[in-house]
Amino acid sequence: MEYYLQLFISGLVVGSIYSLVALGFVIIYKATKVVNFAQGELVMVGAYICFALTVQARLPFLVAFFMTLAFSFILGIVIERLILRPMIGEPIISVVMVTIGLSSVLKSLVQLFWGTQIQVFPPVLPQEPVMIAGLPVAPVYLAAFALSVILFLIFSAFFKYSRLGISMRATAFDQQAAASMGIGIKNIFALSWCIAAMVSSIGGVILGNINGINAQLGHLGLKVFPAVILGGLDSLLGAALGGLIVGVLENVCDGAAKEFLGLGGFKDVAAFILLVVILMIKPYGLFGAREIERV
Amino acid sequence: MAGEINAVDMLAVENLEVVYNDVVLTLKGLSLRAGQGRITALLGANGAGKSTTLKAISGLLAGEDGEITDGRILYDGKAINRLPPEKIVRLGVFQVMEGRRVFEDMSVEDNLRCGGVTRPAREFRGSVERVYDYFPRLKERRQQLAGYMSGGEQQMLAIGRALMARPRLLLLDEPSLGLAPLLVEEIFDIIRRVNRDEGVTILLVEQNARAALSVADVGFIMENGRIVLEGASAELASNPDVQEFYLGMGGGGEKRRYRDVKHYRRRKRWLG
Repeated sequence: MEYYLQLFISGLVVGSIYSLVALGFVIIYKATKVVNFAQGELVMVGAYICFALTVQARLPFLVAFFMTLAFSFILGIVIERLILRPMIGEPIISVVMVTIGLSSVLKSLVQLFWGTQIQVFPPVLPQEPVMIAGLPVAPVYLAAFALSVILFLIFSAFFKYSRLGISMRATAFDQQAAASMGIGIKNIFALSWCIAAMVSSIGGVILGNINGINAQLGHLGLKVFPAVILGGLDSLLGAALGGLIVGVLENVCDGAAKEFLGLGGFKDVAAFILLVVILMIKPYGLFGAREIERV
Repeated sequence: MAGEINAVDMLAVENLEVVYNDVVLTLKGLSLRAGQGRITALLGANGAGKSTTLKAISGLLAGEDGEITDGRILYDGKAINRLPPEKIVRLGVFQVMEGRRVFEDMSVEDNLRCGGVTRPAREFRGSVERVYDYFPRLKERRQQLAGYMSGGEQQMLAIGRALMARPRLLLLDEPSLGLAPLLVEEIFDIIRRVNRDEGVTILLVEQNARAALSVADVGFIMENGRIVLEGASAELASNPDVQEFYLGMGGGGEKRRYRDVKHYRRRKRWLG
């Protein structure tokens, strides 16, 4: 039993990182209707920048963390200006292809600068485990979980109450109508990429602190995809819960497969099996918006 | 007639030419004016280029690959034809697009909030109350999702959203589209009130010529991308050609045979 509880908790932690990255994914989709296949690579870039600043430039972790956020913000603007803006008005499939291209470019750049070996972050939080319900939990796990919850609450409030958030939703629903209100839709696009790059880099930094980083980190984006579809592409709550569900499920299923079937590597499959099942029952995802049809 | 139109022009469109996708010429040297404080109607059949004209003024053409290739648009004497839509809205020109285009997955009040994004936040409460004065029904439904409202209510919301931006020039694209006759009357009443009480200049695009001419001071009739007729509303309403083609009456008020109408159409194209 304790074995599964452990799996559950580590699943929650990994899941909360998925949630963060899924949040970025949903924000871009909500504002621009673009499915961003480079989301995982944004995680990787964030992690490597923070790594370079702490380990190679020897800056204090907090300073490095905020510099990483600033870098991601700028990276978001650059990506939007150089790559996405020329695609405005083009078919959505072309735009999606461009994001796939972007993911290759980012991955190669990282390998160019930092190579392909695993790099390890210096420990930031104390290593001493904290006891929760009789189980030892590493502080970095707790921090990861708390950070995801806080960010989720901030963004929910942002989209619900702030003018900018509402403008982003309006742009997502109908770009031309939003433009007719005087909403600068190009700025909205840029902003959504900035936010997405920032939350992803936070995910990357946390992940780096837990496992260390290598150039395969971008594959995380593949895991986030089922999380996002599961929750509904345009739902923040869906992204958060979808991430947690996928995280927990893959850990627990993996453990069960090892214990009862003697099979390894079930981890990467579990999420997609779940995805197929849920989409058969709820094609818009758990929380996705249906198109409103008036009768 | 000349004296009627030459009042202070808030908007002057001069020899406008618009091309879509680099090939399709939709406006061919269109010129029109909208006098300050007036309601100006722009009438014409399907595909005449009425909506294109409004989008050219409000800067929304770029979103659909349209481009102004010649001519200019003067607002308060200054050219605005190279400005992006968000700047144009800030100058006080607001277009209510055809088909209402409300944000269906948002509440009525959030829709109104979007309309007011170019205004300081502290104005919001006052502006919303003003909109609710015009449209009490919106107040009842303030928390409801806009997508679940009737067509008439959505049109009210679309106009209310425009009022949130406190425009000086309102461009209305087919506000009567798809509405029952009673609702059309209600909407046009409100358009008249907005014009009279707020002093908002209005450029109204309509297919419902009768309703449009009943509220407008001045009318322009366009066909195939240019203006073919202009004048005071009363004058236009009594023009035999307008009666025949836009108001559905024969020259003497009697019904016409279809063959005669077709003959007339042919003649009219030559004139256009």
